[in-house]
Amino acid sequence: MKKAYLGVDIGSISTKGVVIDENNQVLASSYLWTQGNPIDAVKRVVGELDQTMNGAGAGGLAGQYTIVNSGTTGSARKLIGLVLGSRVVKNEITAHAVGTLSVVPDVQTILEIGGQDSKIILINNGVVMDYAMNTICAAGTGSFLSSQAKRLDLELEDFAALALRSENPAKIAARCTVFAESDLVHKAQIGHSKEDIVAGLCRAVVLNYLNNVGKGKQIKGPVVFQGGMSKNAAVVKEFERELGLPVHVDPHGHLMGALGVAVLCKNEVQESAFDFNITNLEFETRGLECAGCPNSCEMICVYREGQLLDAWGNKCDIGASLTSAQAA
Amino acid sequence: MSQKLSHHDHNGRTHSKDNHERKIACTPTIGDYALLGDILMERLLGYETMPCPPLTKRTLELGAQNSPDMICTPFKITLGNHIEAAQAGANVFIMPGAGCRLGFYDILQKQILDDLGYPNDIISLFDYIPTTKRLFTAMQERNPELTQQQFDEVFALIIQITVDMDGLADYLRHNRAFELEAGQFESNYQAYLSEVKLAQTAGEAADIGKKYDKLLRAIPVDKPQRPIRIGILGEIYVVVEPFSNANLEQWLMDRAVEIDRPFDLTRMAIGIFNNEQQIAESGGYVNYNIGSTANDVIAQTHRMMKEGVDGVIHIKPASCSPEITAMTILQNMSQDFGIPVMYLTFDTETGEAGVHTRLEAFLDMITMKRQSADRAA
Amino acid sequence: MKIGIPRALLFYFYEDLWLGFFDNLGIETIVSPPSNSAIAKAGIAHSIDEACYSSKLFIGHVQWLLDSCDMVFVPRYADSGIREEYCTRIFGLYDLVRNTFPEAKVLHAEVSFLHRKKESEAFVQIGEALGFTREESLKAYKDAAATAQARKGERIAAQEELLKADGMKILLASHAYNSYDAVIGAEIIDYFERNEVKVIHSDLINTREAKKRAKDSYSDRIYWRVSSDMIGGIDKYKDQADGIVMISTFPCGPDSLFAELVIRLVKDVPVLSLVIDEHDATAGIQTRLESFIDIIEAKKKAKSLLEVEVAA
Repeated sequence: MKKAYLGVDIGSISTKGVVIDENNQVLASSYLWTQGNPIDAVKRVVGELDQTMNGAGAGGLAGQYTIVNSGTTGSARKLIGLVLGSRVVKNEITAHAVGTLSVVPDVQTILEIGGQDSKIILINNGVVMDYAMNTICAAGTGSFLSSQAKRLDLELEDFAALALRSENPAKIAARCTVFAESDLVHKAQIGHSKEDIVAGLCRAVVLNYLNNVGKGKQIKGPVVFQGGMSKNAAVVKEFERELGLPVHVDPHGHLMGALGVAVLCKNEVQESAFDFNITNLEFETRGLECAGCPNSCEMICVYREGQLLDAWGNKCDIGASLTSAQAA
Repeated sequence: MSQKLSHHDHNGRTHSKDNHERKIACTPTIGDYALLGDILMERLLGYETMPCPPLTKRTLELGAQNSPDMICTPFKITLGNHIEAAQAGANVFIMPGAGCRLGFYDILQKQILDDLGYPNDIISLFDYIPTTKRLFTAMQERNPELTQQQFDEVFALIIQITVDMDGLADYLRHNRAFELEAGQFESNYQAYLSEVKLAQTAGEAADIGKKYDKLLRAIPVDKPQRPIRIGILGEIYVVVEPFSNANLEQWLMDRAVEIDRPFDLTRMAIGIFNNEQQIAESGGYVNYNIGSTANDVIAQTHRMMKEGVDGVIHIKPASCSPEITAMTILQNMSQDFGIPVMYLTFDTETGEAGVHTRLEAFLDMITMKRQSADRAA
Repeated sequence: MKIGIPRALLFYFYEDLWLGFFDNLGIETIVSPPSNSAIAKAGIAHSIDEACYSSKLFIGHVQWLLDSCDMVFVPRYADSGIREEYCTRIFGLYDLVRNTFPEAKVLHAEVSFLHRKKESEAFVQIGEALGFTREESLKAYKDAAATAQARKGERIAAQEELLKADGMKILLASHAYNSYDAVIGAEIIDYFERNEVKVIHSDLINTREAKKRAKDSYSDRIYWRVSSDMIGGIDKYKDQADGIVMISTFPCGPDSLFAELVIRLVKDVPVLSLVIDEHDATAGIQTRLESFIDIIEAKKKAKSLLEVEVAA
């Protein structure tokens, strides 16, 4: 049996999983909507990966590999790490950097705009030198653009095509969603065309990013652009125009977090085997508001087959005793 | 018609209608420093003191609801402290005053407490140029029998405690991450605080300080030759109040990081008169006073970078002007020295999880950087 | 030799003095044009995101000047007297410019009454740096200072005249660098003028008088000049105004305290507080100004009805 490694990236919008071999080659991958239920999403992702690795259509792969380590990243990394019994639970910044480096070894700058947040990672000689994340609010991220698309009665898919037709993008205030919306209405009322407004929004996303996340950072090529926003060709074009550098978008860019955490698994000395059987187990989370003090910590208790696995979210020991009482 | 701010005379003193009403003083939570306010109130004014209700989400909510939007975060948090303390029966509130927007906090906070209907006397310890004379006057106005000698004795005690507790805490930050038995540093430090609270004279406090200094230094540690060392600098309130900074020092120390955090009350007190020196130590990055602790941020960052710190975390409350100026300069220093600086802004809405993700990534980054440098060497 | 002067922040306090000084010495100056979107964009791009909009504009003006002059004039004013400190954004400008544009040539000197750095000495220093003698520099400074003072007196007197006129009057309460900036206050002034509303400016007041008024009426501890100017101006003119429009740029430290204090303490004149940032949506502001005028008119009507009743 050859060794393989599983990486899972569970974001608020999508869940991604990859299985790699010892040469960082992707053996299987899966990409699904999280739909507000990370545990269910991961079970579906793992189910798909199992099909590719061991299912009827697996062909030459079938039964050749055993997964010796698994890792998680993304906003639900802790919960899913527990569910999968993962050895590696990593933040998404590190995971993205490691994943991208395994594909583009000479990358110097990673731009990322996701659903809720955005980040920049600067790399020199394969080592992360500096990074930053958005500090203000969600304006300029994926959820911002999709809400504006809705407001303009457009499908997000048509957004980029429309924007690319504009020759004179409108100037849109996009620091804050509220401002952007009133400005959008205003621009439409004074007669800007839809493509100019849409192109203006794409430009605002880029300027906003460079003025906030990218402020004071020396952006050098090769530049890789990731995250949901990287699928928007108009935003890519704006980045290239502003930076004066080619911006690479990998068709598998969305898998970089999962890939990164799989690579990190490979580097772990200790192994802790992964069993696809996980899809048959019953997991449950229960939210609990601790009433011990006015902090009202929102605690999450995770159960497997009815047994409390772990709980977190409490700031002090009052909460801990509360959950152990629950477990009893 | 505008009304003049209620009851303030030229020294910011409040005239109470009934001089015999029961005075219950409360110092807002600012790290471990509230005990200093208690000593002032009890020993100089004979007031009762009340521990500030612990900082919680509710404190932040109360503070934010009743504060102007654009005000800096420490205003909101300390206002929340006052309101919760007032609800628990306190009627005297202590604010440090001196410098920056902090020097006006009490004026507006008093107006807000008045408008909310809480009886209050906010004591601003210092004016915009902090002097012991001003502190003495503020105390004497409320206790006409207070003599200079009594004041001097208590003031000496306060200074002694401040210097000692800051010294102990600094030692702790450099070593706690490496203690062999978890919790030893913290429990000794807490024991020091409860013991020194009872000290009557500066001499007594000094003895207690010495005793605990020995105890702390005797705690066995397993400190590597070159541990990962992170500098923490920024605006003084968010630096010293762990609740306001998502408890980041604790988080880092739990992950075997040595903390170089030079800012504390002692340094603040000395620093006010040390602006020239801070500018001289800034490596030519600044020529003038750029406000509040920002010059010291530059000077200390420069020292740390020369010493080869692995990374620097700059923290500030939202909209803190002097620190915003400092950031432009820190960006240049970070580039020149090739040492990363992470900037974190805290407001009443900042979620702990987001901060911890950023810390984790920062720590990963500098650890990997160190490993690759070691491999290359 | 051409000296560039950014049309932002302290320029609006010291325009006559600065331009007069260089003019008296026969030195050519160039003042950056009124703020526009390109200047704003450059300022935003070169500033920390969280910095106040007024200081971002300043940086934009400096950037505009870099290619148009030999040296940019960024004097370091710490204060203009005891308890007349400038805010940290203003007194940190020199170091900010130097760190933002390390290649820029900056002409500067320090003015701080608290630290015994007299304004006259600062200008002597500047004159000497440009190759003039102490005497020449001092004379140029003194003449310019006298002219500047006289001009301010004229502007205050002109406003006194305006106060006597009939019709609705709005007190525009802000710092001069906001009130008169083309992308901040100008549009608001414009709006009022189009609607035949007279605009009274809070900054048209003698600094000493403003300080005394702020102290007597509000608090004895206001140590920021920009705040005591604004509060003193409000105190002086508010009873002759039908409404007060306060403009702050986001995020302004001094205003966060004193705009709030004014709102809490001024009860008998309606106050509209506008916070402008780099993304202000003009449509939103116009709507708010419009409804503010409506409120004032409704109030006036109600009041005159009441007076008729009382008279009857």
